[in-house]
Amino acid sequence: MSGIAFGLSQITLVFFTTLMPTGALAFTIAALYLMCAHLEDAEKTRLEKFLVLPIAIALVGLIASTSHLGKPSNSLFVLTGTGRSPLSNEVMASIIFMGLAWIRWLVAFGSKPRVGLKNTLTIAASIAAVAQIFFTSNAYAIPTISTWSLPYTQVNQVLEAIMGGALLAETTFCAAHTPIKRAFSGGLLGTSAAATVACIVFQTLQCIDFANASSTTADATLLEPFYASFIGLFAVLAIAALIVAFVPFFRKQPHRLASISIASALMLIGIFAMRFAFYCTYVNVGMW
Amino acid sequence: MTLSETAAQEIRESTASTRRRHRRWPRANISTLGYALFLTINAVSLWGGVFPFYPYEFHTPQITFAFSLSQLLSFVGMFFLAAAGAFYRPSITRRSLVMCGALPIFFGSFCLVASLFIQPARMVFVILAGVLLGAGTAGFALIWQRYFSAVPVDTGTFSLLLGTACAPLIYFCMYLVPSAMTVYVVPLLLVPLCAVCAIEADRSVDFEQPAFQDDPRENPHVYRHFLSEYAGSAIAIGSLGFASGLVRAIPVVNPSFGDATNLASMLGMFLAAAIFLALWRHGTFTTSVVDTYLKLFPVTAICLLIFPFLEESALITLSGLIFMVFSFAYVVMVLQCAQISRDVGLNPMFVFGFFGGIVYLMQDLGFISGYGLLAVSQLEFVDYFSVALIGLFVVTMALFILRGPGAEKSANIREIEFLPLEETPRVDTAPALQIEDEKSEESASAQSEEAEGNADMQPAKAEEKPDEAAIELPTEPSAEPLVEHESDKRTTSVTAKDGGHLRDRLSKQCLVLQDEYRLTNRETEILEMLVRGNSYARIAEQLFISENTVRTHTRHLYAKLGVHKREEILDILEAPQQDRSSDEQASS
Repeated sequence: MSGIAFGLSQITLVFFTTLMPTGALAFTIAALYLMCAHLEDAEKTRLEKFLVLPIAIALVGLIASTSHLGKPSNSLFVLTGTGRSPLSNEVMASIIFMGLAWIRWLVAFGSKPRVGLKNTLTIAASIAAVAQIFFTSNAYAIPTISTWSLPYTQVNQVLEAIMGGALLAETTFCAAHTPIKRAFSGGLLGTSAAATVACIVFQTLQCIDFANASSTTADATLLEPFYASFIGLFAVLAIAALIVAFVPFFRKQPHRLASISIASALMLIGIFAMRFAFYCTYVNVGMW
Repeated sequence: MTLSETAAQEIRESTASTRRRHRRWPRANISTLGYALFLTINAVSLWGGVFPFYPYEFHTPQITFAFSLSQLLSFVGMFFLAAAGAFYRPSITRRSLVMCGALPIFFGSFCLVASLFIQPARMVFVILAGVLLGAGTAGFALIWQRYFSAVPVDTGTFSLLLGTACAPLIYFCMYLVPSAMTVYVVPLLLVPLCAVCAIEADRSVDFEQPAFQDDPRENPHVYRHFLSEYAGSAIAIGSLGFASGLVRAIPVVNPSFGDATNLASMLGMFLAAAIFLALWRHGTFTTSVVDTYLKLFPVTAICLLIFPFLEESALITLSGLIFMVFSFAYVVMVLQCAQISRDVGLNPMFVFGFFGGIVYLMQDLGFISGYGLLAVSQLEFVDYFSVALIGLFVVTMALFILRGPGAEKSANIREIEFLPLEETPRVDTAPALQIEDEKSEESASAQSEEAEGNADMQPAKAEEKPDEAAIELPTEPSAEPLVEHESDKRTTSVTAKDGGHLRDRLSKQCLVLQDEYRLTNRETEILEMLVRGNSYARIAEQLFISENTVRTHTRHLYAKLGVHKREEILDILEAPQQDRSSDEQASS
């Protein structure tokens, strides 16, 4: 099977690794801000409702990832491998995060405030989100796949989550009309920009490192032009997203929802392209 | 056509032409999403709709039949339970009942999943799942019906129709979800989301309305009258349900029919919603379950007639068509129940519980009959002939009950009303009252006199309570009789019951106000009865509603007219329309 064909066959996992960590991090940022910031009741209520945005993004990723399970009972069998299989750990962490975040969102609609429960769920979901990002990045450090078993694989996944997550959190705040401080908003955009720069650098290093990843039957250096072209596409999209996000920020425009939404979309498309390229570089140590 | 009828038509056309330009839909709210989600849950949960997402070995006739039957019986039971609860313990219907729908569906879905793992107890889990899913989906149906009946008519009808139109889109999206996940997506995602929407929607419901506050046992005649008036309508829709139940039995012995009936069901609802929204956009209109049944009867009858003579591929289409007809009728039934609740002031859960109970009981009977016939006959040949014959018999009997000898067409059946859409900014209304030319005046007067006979021309006197003090009515000779003679037992309602027939000048004026102020037929009836000097008790007696309901309609009427007492209504009635328009513009 060629690299692109393999990438296409794993397209649902490309969706999963793009959307799930991004949504998880965005939820964590927004939910922790909601817990810690001093907001009016109406503002809190509105932001609580808009937490559904990162949850929905993550959920689409999770649902997409289940396409290869076959029948309902298989999904439970996957969970029985928790602890010994990185894939099962990833699925379990994703389900725990999703469950906690979903319940946290639903609790907001209750007739009673339940502040303690909300805070507990926020903290638990945030920890689960971090665990989800960790286990997802670890699931691809597979020794038998020489092009994936590189030191940059995990770092890149974490950086991609930060790039997209920070922008998506900013989008959530804008959609909910949450009054966030300019410094905090700038911090989110700055974090996304820093992660973008770092990710482009580490992706380039990963591409260079393919020279050391050849197997007995395959020359991984042949992947370099292909991967480099996707790094270029990724860089263009990510930088375009940052420009779209930063311009209204510097102009101090009060209503930035449209621009920040476009920025988030561009960033997610860029991450998706990079994740697709990553799956296309599948080189088993024994065979192409 | 009499001159008065011409005048009525001119009034409607004149007003309609000015309204056509700036119509605006009511705002969609969270109930639209919630109802669409509910219908999707319904489609995926009922009739083994979730089975396509289960492994093939799960699709045995025994499992399908046990699941469907247990589900349908609990579904029907829940409707009758709701009707009984609304009658004997109305306070229950004022509570938040969302969990009564959500929890059974949640646990029912997991019972179905459990049946995959615990094979020795598979049948027990399947039956338990059927019971829970049936009760849960019926619970949600009742909760949404309560909402749509309790909110203002425009909002309720629009949200209901838009939600119905959106449901197929969500349902088809379910096919994009990997099949391994669908069985989890329903209880874990759709049900909580639907419950949240229902909770949010319920917050806007005023449970202080008479429909919820009145104790039905204090007005049993109102409920008795409802049952006698609408039993025929329920049986009519139930007969279409019976036919759909018959064809629903076919997938049990022939699973290839299952998907077709599911898709047709969603398509039928979509068509109903789309047609009504399109008609509503075009202008105001009325319909009823009886009208709908009479229009759908030929389609169902023809389908059943040719059913035994077609190849299997054509039978699938025909089954789909029969189920589509029922889905269409279901949407009309939901609208009809909401209209009855609003107009008559009956508890919406009683009304829908009664209608739903009868309709789904007949559908259950159809399903059991169909399965019985098919199961017995499948050893030699599939006996579609008997299935079609029994279906045809039931739908024809329903027609006989509605329109046969001895069946009287009741004047008290409430029609589903689509008020003209609101306009922004308010348009200048055409001088509709200009039609009050001499000839039509005289004609209307003459006709009125003829109709009224020796109607009492004297002002009505205060009858009972201070707030019901009869208005001082004009006594000049030109004034039409404003109150009926006590001996005149005919109803005073004009616009609703006479189909727009104008009896006298006052009727005509009420009709103008109806168009101008977007009054419902019920409000217009009460307006006319009020200005004719009827007391609340008299109005309640004549319209078979409670006095509290009369007060509520009157309150709505006053709010729409911007008045605080009956005398002001007369001022409005007497003022030329141009004056009213300019007054309103000045005040706005």
